[in-house]
Amino acid sequence: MSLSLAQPWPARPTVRPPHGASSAEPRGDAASAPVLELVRVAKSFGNTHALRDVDFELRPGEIHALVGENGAGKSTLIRILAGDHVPDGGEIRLEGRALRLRHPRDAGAAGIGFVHQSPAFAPDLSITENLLLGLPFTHRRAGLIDWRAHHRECAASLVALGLPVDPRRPLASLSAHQRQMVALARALHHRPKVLVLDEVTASLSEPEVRILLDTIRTLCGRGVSVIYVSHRLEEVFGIADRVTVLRNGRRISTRPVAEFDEARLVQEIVGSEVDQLFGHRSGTAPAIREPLLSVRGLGDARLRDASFEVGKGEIVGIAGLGGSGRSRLLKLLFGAVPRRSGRVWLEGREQAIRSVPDALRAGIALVTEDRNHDGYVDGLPIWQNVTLPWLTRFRAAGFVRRREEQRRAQAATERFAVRMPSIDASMSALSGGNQQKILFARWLIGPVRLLLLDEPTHGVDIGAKSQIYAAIRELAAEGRAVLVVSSELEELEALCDRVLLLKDGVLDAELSGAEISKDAMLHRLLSPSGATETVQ
Amino acid sequence: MTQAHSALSEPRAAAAAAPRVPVDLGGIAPVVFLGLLVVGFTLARPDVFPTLENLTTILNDGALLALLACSLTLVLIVGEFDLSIAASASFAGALATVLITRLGWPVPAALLAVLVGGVVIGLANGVLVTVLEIPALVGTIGLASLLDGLTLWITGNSVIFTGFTDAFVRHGSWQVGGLQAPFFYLLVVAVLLGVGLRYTAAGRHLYAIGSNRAASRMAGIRVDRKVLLAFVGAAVLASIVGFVYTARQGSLTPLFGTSMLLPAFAAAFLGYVTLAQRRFHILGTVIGVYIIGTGTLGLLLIGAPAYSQQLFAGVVLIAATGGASLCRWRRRHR
Repeated sequence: MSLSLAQPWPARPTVRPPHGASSAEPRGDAASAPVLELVRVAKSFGNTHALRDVDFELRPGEIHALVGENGAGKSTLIRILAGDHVPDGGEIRLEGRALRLRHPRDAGAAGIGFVHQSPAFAPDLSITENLLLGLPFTHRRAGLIDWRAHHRECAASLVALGLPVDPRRPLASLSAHQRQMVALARALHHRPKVLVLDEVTASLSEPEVRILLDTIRTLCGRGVSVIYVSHRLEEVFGIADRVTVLRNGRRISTRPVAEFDEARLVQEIVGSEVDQLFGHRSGTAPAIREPLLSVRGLGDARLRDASFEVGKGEIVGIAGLGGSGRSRLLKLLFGAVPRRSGRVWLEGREQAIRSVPDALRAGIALVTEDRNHDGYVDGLPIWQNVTLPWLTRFRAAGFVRRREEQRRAQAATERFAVRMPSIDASMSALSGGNQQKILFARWLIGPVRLLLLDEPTHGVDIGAKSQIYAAIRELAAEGRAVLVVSSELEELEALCDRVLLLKDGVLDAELSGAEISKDAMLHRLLSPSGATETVQ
Repeated sequence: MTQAHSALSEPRAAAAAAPRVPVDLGGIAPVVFLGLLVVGFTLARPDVFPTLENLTTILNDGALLALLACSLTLVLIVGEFDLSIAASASFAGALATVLITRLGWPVPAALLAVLVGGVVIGLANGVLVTVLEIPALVGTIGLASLLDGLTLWITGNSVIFTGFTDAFVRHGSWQVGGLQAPFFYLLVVAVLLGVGLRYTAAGRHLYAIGSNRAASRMAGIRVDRKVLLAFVGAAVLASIVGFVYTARQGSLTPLFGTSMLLPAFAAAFLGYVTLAQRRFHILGTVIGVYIIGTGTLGLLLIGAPAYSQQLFAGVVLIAATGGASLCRWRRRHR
């Protein structure tokens, strides 16, 4: 289980200044019957219990926040409401009547509307066409679509949400916030009783979030009940009347928001279980390490003045929420994206890294976040994937020595205990964990001094995970420096000698040795005020 | 921590126990089909078809198309398209003809001009696609139209058949044992390209780029440079085809290349499913050309109407590529 840091949650002032203002007279009438009720709803996938007998109730006109880590069961619950998943047990009641949701259409027909994090649109079509996507059109007598009526209707519903735009314009011309408004208009088109907002503020800036939250409050005033899912706890405190915490597929608590303070809410979300599966790195005293990598003032549009060092044999983690610039930092060091400022030294010598080949020449390697996208090349067999960055090292008189190449690739994969039909097989024949091991093996072929790892165990099963951890430790022990980005804080806890906290593009604090714990990282990342101690 | 030492040194039990990769039977189907064609036509017209003369005719007539299809293969390997190869060939032929027959240039100088022209065309295509990020389909059609316009301009849109010197014509018409110059050029080019694609770093990089551009970039391959290289290679080779074609004909029909464009694509895509698991390669492309060539000549000899040759090429292409997809689909759903 892991905390999802997939959503940017930058430090920003509380959206609704004093909590008391609204919690004094909460929306949602405690006395009246709930609009939506889930009773002992359960759902499992194979052996994984995504939801275990979860109860949930939504009162008329209330904003009910649903919070929890990744894998806590939020998405499953929402997908059940959307008719995407059919629950294994339990009951769903809407205004007292039992609901059967077998298909996404059922949810719409029953009066439940959804706005998702990144709504699916056809960007080249007009706003009207997008708003009505999948809905029946109104026809004129000749059987032609009555566009004028549709445009008028869409313009009106967008103006009602404070978005005065011409609905004939292509959707692509709208900003992220405006698109989110169109998605909201689309959800409201059916006049739903219940509105589910799933991470709707993820891609929005601060003022846009305010506008959206104001809009949501207005809607509640008109009697719509809202389920609000967000990782951004400030928003939860800013807008919600009540909060339900899910953890490990169970409901932990449901309380009015006024009964929570931030520390308590985080505590309930995280729980207190300690994951000891992967052990903890017993860091040697960091002070005596000889620095291998020194970075001063590294930056671009997202990242500001990153300065840090990584010692020989040291594993340093970077913890940050999604959008904090974690992956960006690694790509800057790897020369994969242009940097605006900053200098980099390896073993005391300054490196001019402007491209990936420059980085490889300097001995810097990157295992990317999404191996399907920019990790392996499926058109080449396994051994050619292992040697791909180092082909010129196998060259003699202009030709590649394929035998030698295969031999080295074989040796490298054996070191990582890759399970594969043969070294000639295609990459897609391997499991995710073995694909990842191949991409690690790749960096044993050349003289790599600095290993950059972006989500090194993303989509990897638990067995391969512990093998990859062991491999990372061993690669570091051989004198390489390792810089790891991970959204799984347990991973950083298990691997790292030190962890740098990255918030909104700024390296904010550093934890080392025994200070490194999931709780400590989480508290620092989530606390809006942030800065505890500044690196350098 | 207990597994720390085992992970990197675990014995290779896994690799030893695993089953072998199944041989791709679909890949030899086109070759079998070529054999069946030969057997079929032989049985149909034992008196006319199986002659040495017909064999050399097929080999000679297919050679220039095969060279053009090889040039296309380079670009297809990196995952791009080039619809300007035929126009490049036409233009090169016209340029050489005008320089030699009208302006009296010596043949080597004209050949050099043709090669330089090829490099320029390739660079133009490459820049359109990599720097300006115009889709190859659009960019190369644009350039093809532009080149055809230039060709018509410099030739005055008329057939040229005077002034072809021996020194020029010789380049396309020398023979050894009934086999003409283009066939030998094809042999040399196909071997060079085939070996280069398989045994050089650049060749491997082209295949990597065609399969996954983002991953190739992250593996340190200079992707844009290699794509540019593929376009330049294709245009230069297509220009040579134009030069040799004109020399062999001893006359110039403007835009002669156009009729070779679709067969070149058909051959390359036939090659894509021949003897390899869905990858473009030189040997496959050459086999593709000769499947179409054998069918065309055979149909002619058994007296089938002319339109049947087009039907044949279309059916073969769709059957071969569709059949390969069907095999894959069945394997996956077994």
